[in-house]
Amino acid sequence: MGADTRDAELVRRYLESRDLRYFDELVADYRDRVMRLVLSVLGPELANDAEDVVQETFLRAHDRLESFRGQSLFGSWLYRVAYNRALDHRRMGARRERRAQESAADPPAMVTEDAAATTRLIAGERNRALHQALARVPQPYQTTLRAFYWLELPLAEIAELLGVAPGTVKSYLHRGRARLARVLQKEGFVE
Amino acid sequence: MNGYCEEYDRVVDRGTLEGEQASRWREHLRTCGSCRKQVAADASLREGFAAAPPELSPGFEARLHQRLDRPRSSGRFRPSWRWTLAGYATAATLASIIILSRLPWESLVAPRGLVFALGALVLASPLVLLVPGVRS
Repeated sequence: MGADTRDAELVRRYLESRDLRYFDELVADYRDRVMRLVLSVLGPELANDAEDVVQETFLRAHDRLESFRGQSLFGSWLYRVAYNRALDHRRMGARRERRAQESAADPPAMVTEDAAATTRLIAGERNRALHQALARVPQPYQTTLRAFYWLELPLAEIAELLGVAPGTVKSYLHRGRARLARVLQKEGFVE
Repeated sequence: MNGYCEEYDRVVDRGTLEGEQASRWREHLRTCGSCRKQVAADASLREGFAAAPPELSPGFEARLHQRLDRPRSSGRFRPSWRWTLAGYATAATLASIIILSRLPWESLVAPRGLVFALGALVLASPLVLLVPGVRS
């Protein structure tokens, strides 16, 4: 039995019997891939929230399972739910961060004579600048860049998670890199 | 992209390179400035993601079961564009009624009154969106 047929069968059996074991099988099959998709959208800044978003994805999928009538594949449907939940969460996170930055006083100057600590500090600043710049790259490019460079996912998996062809992922990577370079240039991080 | 080398794309497609393919790629890198630049940019991007991605905790399923067992409201009220539009429509209708009530009765049959009455109807029409069963 193919994975798609198996998924459809598990959904049908769960809806008929309400036996959680069927739903658990779907969760076991998809939890890691959903986590990777959610992480790609949230990024390292919000990585600690990823598990909550994955939970919310499965809760929402569970509650809307009746409306999933098998017109699309279960996986594609679930990834779409996860992607939208993660995007919502990211938008809320960005708003919270903006408010926190607005209300925060000037950060204390960090002085250190430890060369290793200074190097770490510079690397930390550079990474933060990269993440801030990446957050300004439009979707789905920023998610694709994180999936490829952070999670190091193969093109085929990124394509599956985003519901596009592998060739489209390559084009997202091209455009995403170009957009990121433009943002970094505009912010003065690169010449 | 200026001077972009398609060999880089082929390497990305293949993923991990081993043996002969790896040596051919190294050889290519010695002669191709575009690929060298791309590889350096890639390395710099990967370095930027220093933190390892977290994994799901071992108690993930148990926590999900707990949440599945808890009663959940079927739909939390969220102000949507339908409610916003309906709000504007209500305000516009009220404003039209006030204006109409101040007009002398005889002007209601005159073109000006008709225009007002029709305008009020058009402005109030988004209220129909709040009727159950009317979907966006």
